[in-house]
Amino acid sequence: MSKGGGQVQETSKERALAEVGVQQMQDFKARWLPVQQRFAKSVTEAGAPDSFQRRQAVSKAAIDTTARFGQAADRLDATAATSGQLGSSKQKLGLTGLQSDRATSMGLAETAANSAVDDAYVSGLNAVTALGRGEKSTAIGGLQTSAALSGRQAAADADQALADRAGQYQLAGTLAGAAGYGYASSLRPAQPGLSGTLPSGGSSVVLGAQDDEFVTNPQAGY
Amino acid sequence: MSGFFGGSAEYLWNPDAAGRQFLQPKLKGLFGGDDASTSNTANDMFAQLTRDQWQSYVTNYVPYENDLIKYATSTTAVGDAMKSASADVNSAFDNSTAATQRRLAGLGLTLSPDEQAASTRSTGLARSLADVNAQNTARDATVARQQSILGNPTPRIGGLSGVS
Repeated sequence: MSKGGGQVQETSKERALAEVGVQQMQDFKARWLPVQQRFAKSVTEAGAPDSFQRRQAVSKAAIDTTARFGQAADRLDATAATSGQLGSSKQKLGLTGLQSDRATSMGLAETAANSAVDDAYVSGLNAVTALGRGEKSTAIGGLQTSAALSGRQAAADADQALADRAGQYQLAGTLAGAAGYGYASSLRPAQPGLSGTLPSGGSSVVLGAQDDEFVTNPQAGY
Repeated sequence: MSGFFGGSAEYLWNPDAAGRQFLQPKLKGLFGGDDASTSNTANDMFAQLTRDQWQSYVTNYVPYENDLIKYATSTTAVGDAMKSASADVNSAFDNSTAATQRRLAGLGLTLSPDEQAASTRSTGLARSLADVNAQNTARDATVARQQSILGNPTPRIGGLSGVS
């Protein structure tokens, strides 16, 4: 870092960090974001009330139950035949009772299949939002923590960013970049728009979506 | 919309005063502004990256977070699950009645009035029990799922299963 004429010149290291951050973001956009979008779309589609996955799960549960109880009914008929009770009330009511049991089993199996699809839907949404939370914390944390970071810490973060590049997000370079920015910003006055507040219009972004109108902060109105 | 994921952010390779090539973002407002001024400072690139990351989060992930929150706080999810479970059970019993008739007919058998009455009673009882059981199962599973999203680490505790 060099100084001169009252202005702080950026170092080649800071420029390199910025370039790596941009390139990592572009790489993330090109390779990982489409995959994540595809996954998120499949999760939403599978969780729909009449999705293919749901119908398939329910149908499989019904077929499995029908197959199991069909074999049981065959054995019941065979037993009645060999014991000379074919056509007796015992045999006929046994058969109707077996069909009743089959319906009970099938209904509960279909309910369980629906529940399993709902579990998968929620798990999938959790996975998608976990990806988003990682990105969000990077974006917010980058600005909040950057001012306190020293040049040495920035270098350490850059090393970590390169290590993390093999990970899922490909965004660690941005954090390292923000750290580099923090190093620079600690030496120069804060600039408009970089103080942690959103530009005009940003405050109008409504992120909440509580369906039952549950009020989490009455004083704030949300 | 601007940013990496909005499709309008542009990064250019431009030389600095010393002739070195640097990636240079065209700075555009995060929420619709279009400041076309450019800067080749790392400082501005970091700022734009941070804005783009936030915009990416809002665009690509917030809708799914809202879906999750909507499910967790839905006042109809439990009822819908119970209705679906009840429909599954009753449909199974309706089909079972027809299947029983076909199987008896295939064996050349018919139920006497007394046998029919006994069968109807037992089947009706089984249907009611299965219906209630399926609805309870669906309700508990849905409530547990909602509680889990809301952060309850032990959503299947009995005392909590009835909370909706």
